[in-house]
Amino acid sequence: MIDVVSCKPSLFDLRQFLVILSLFLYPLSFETEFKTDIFHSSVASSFGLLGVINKIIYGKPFVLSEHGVYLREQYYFIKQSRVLTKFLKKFLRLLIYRFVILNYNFADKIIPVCLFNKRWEQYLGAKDDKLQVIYNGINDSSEFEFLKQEYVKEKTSFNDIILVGAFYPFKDIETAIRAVAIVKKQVPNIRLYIFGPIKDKDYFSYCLRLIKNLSLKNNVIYRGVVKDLQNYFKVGGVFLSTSVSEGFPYSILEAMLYKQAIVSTSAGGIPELLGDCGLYVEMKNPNSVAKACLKLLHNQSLRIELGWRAHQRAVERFSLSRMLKSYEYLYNSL
Amino acid sequence: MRKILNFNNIKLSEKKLIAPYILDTAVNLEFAGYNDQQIKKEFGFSNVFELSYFIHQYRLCPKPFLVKSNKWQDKFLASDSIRLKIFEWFYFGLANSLLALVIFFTLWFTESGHILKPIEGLIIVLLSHIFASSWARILIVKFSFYNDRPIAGYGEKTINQYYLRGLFGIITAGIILFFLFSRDNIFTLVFIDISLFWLNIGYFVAFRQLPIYLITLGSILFLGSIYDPFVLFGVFNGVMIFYIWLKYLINLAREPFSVYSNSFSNNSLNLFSLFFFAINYGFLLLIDVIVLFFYGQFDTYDIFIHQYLAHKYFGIFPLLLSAGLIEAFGVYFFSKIIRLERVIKESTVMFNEIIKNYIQTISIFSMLHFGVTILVSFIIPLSNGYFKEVYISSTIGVMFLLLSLFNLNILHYLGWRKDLWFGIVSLFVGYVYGSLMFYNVAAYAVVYGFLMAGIVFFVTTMALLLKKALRYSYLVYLTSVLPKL
Repeated sequence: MIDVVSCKPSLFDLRQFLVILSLFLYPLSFETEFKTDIFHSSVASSFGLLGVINKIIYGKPFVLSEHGVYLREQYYFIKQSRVLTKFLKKFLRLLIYRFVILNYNFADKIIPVCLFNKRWEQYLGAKDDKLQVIYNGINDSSEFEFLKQEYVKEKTSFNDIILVGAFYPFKDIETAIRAVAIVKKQVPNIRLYIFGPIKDKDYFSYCLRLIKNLSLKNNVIYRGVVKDLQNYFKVGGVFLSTSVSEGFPYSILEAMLYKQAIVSTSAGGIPELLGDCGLYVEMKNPNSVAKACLKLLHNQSLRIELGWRAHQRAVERFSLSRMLKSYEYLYNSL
Repeated sequence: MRKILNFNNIKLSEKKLIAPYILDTAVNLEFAGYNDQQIKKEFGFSNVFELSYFIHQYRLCPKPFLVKSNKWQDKFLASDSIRLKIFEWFYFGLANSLLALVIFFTLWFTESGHILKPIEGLIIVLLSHIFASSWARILIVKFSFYNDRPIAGYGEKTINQYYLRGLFGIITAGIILFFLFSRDNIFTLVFIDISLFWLNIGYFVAFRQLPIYLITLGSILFLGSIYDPFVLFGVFNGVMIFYIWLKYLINLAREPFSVYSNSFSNNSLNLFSLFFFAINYGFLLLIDVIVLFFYGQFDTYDIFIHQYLAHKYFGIFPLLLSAGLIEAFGVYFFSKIIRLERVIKESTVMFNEIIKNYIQTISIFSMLHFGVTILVSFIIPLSNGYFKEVYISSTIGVMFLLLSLFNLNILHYLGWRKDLWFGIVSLFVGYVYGSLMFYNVAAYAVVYGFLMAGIVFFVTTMALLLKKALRYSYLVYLTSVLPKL
């Protein structure tokens, strides 16, 4: 395992080490006894300590669900960090590893949101009988008018592509922008709408520079965080996801519900979610993305077919009611 | 069957995806866009964890530490491999240009009938040593790289001071000897040159034995002022070859498979490079001594020297460079084979890769070596075709001997113990056969003896190698077929 001993810490390292440790042990400052029957943690971090304590002292069941794999993501952040020293990186990795294993060992049930996450949990030593995949669900209530929307030929512009995702390297928006530059050669009035917060300012400014350099100012439009996202979706519209890392993304689930023709990479749990109701592209490959987008933009019937199929799949397999029933059954079984 | 995990093609290491720990490698792979399907398609492993485990199991990853160094050279080397390549090409180009100048300078002097003055000789000696040491240093730096990560500053800290101290000390001693004993004798300079060369090698090969070398060198220098320098050449080189062989064999015994492993801690790789370097030089010197002995020119070497030795020793440097090339190719070949062998034990593709690499390596080396030999033989303006013939025959003989050593090393890698004796017997048989062909002319007998020994040795080792390879490929085939039966 990680060899922290061989790495000599400086005084600064030791100070930071104590700060990090105090932050990780912060959950212990809470009231440990909860007036609940079950303790459910949504991340395998130090907050799971409360679940562990509840289980040991009060005998309450401990359920752990993971939307992303905590260890996997934290390891990536640690690797990317320019602030942490070598010792702190090693220490943090070890600490996170221990906390994750602690969570896995004491949890009565571990709920990954997709099979992709389950692989990691299995690899990290979680027992098979504890693992149960419960997919995320989305509200398919018929009260939403947009769900009844049919394809309206004359009013809909199909030169638009929608991308919902934060400006963050994981989302690989760079590839989407480059793909637009390729698509533009055949479809000059192509527009890529990007929705989502800016999580990484450097990455955002890099993407802006890229847009400027590729002369795509009129073709790539950033709308930030909006409340009426559904208004931008048109039945059979093209939805793009270029992520390189995903769990079980709600953005795609919503797009499926909104009858979008989806072009996506096969990162994380996306194949489980999308099935055969979309087009898959290679990661970090603008040509592949552009090819798929052009295929959809030029083929109206395919767009509509994929959109309806995706909608059907979302309603049938990933409804909110289905998810709630699964959790209810799980809680009752404990 | 798993596909080839060819790190040169997929360049996982170049993308910096291989981390010191399995989990980190798995994380890196996934965030770089490799999912299980892709891993299965490209590498034949079922998922990222299996691939990561495999990488670490077979130590295809760098050790989780790097030597810290604040020296600008290390930073430069560690910073960017493209810059390093430019640096190397520039350095090689400069060194080769200067070398060519030195050769022509010497040839001009010898052709015009002048005898080199001491200061000119010293300049040549110094320049040639700068080339020799720079070549060695570049080799060491080049092959100290692993997975694009340098083993920072190997030998950098000590080479300058010790080497330069030794160099200046011996040059001073040489100058004193030169003025005291043999004022008009170019041999002293050549002698110093050879001694320095060996000292340089001695430094790399066995740093701890440096005092022994110095004592030996001192005693030989002392004896050199009294006795015949030819004899001293032979003794000195014999001692040095013995030390190097000893060190080489000890290393082999200790770490039999680490010679080509491009590993981090031991210096056997560098030893291997310089071993060939030294052997090449040693063989040529030995041939010279023997040829001169049979030719009976000891009494008249004043005239003979700058016709024969100047051409020989300054024409020798291109040969040394080509000897360096075979080391480079050898190391390249084995590092690649080891990776292949470790990664795809069950694959028959490996054998094809081995053969392909072997043919490439040998053909490139042969072309370069022949090219250099023929070029040198053309630029030597000798009226006497006898020397030319001796030169070409002896160098080609040496080339074959080198190739045989290369083969022997492969045999060793594949398990050579019994076959070694066949090789040695073939060496003697070839020598005797070559000698008998020209038994009436002593010098020809020696040179052609070497040539034939080299050729027969090469052919024998090649045949043994093929035999081994066929058997090995059959085993590989069996292991790939058996699980299916």
